[in-house]
Amino acid sequence: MTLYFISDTVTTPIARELKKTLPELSVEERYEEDLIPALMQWPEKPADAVYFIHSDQYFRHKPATWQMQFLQTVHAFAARQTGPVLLSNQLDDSFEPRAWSGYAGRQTSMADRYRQQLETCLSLPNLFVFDLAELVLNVGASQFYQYNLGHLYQMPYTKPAVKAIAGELQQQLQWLQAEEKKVIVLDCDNTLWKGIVGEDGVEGIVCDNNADGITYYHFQQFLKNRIEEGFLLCLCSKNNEVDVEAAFRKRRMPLQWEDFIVKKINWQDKYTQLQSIAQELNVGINSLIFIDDNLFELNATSAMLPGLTTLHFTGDYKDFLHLTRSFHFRKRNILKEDRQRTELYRTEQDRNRLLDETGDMSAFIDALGIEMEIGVNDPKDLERLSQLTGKTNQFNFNKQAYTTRELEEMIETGWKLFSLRVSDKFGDYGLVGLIITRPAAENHLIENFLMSCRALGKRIEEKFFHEVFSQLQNQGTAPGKFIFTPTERNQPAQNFITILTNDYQLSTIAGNIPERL
Amino acid sequence: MTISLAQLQEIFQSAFNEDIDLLPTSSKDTLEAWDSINHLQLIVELEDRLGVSFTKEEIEQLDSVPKLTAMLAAK
Repeated sequence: MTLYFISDTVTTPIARELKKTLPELSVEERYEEDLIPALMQWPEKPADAVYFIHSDQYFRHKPATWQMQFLQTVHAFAARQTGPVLLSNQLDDSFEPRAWSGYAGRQTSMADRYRQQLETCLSLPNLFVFDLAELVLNVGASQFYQYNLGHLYQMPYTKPAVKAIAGELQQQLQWLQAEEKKVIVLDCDNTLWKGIVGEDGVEGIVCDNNADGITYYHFQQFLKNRIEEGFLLCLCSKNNEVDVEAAFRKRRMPLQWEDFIVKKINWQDKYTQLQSIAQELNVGINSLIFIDDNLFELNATSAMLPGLTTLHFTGDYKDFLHLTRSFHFRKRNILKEDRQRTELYRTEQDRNRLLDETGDMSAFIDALGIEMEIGVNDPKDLERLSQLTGKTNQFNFNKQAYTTRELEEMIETGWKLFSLRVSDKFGDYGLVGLIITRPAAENHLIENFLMSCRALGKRIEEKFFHEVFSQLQNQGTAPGKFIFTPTERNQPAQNFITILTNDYQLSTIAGNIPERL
Repeated sequence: MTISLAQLQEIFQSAFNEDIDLLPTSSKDTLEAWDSINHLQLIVELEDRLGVSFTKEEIEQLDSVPKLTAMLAAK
């Protein structure tokens, strides 16, 4: 691998520092006062070439038009190269006073505008940002730049700055070569919360916005955001599963029980648990990040499982920030593909494979080991329920998106919201169903009934309705009617009507909700 | 300001990021590691450690240990 520094700043100290940690790396430097012609004339290089394009010294002396042209040139440059291109982002005018650019606290600075442009420039899979701005913030501008030599000799960085840049580059180069991480496996006690749930009890653990729990709370939020970027979360904890499940169900924490794809909660060795997590998800050990507060566990698992990435989590906030900046959590191309969707697709394939093996539908459903959990008027479900009402089209009796507040009002006026959670042996479907009933003078009414399509085709809707109907019947409030609005897309729900009218003797009320496309 | 050779050696090593043998007579010509980049690192290190500053002329003229000790003595 050859690293090319293409820079308008003297980068030799950075290159020298980098060579100390990566002696096998070959480094070549190209210093240009104006980077645009240099980039335009640059020849194509093989894929093992990595570029560090760094404009700091002359950047601010150039007009905004030059900066835009520079970005376009970098974009064209990266499009021509197969190897990765790291582009330094710009900080606000810390090298020269902001006042020089007419900045008086009210205008957007040139650097701000540049950064907006920069984001739109990053649409190429081999073009990455090198977050110089973040380094300056961490080190502090006054500790980062030495102005005298910077102006005299185009070498503006202090020793701590050189170390910080070289350290970040080293991480980024290793990240580019390493297999991308897909799964984050987490310990529970003193990792996701403070305390030991088996000893301190569900109410004794701490994970909130107060001093004792804030690191854990923010850590959970951090992990929750990783899910959206396509990471899969798993649990690996020496505990009783009921205790851990109770902790997630009863405590309001950012992460929910359903957020975890595979849960290994038992008293076996963690390395065997990690191995079986990798097998179940069909990924290699090197796709896993294992996070634990216990150094013994981390050392034991990484000794047994070469290639495993382990990270040590403590309740210390500074350590936590350091951990979250780790390159392992950075996806190369989040926008390009939704990895979670891929994963859902994959588990669906596993289910289909099982259907092929078992042959007939009822044997398949038995083999799936479907487990259902029905909640009634549970406030923590409302957000997802609101989302379901907006997103579900096929199995939806009356397509109408409700806000969380509207759902709350329904509960306050005596309506019942039955929410359905489903899991099977392949994993969790999450919260996938909703039945809304409202009291009426004679017959209680099914106001709405909807099921996410990912739970359809396994007779779950039949069981769900049966359960809800039985519950209401036992309370003497069995429904007699349901509202239905046919749309072009809700044929699956229309097919279900005959079950309601024949098996449960319910009658239909035509809905008056206008059809939305 | 007077400064011992041992102290100077320590500053040079820290600036150059390698072990060197500093002599009272050492200069850019006799010390291989004393190139133009390390020269600037040395200035930074001296300014940092000793709380002094060098003018552009001083930075350009400074090319040996004797010159450096003389400059520091005047500060």
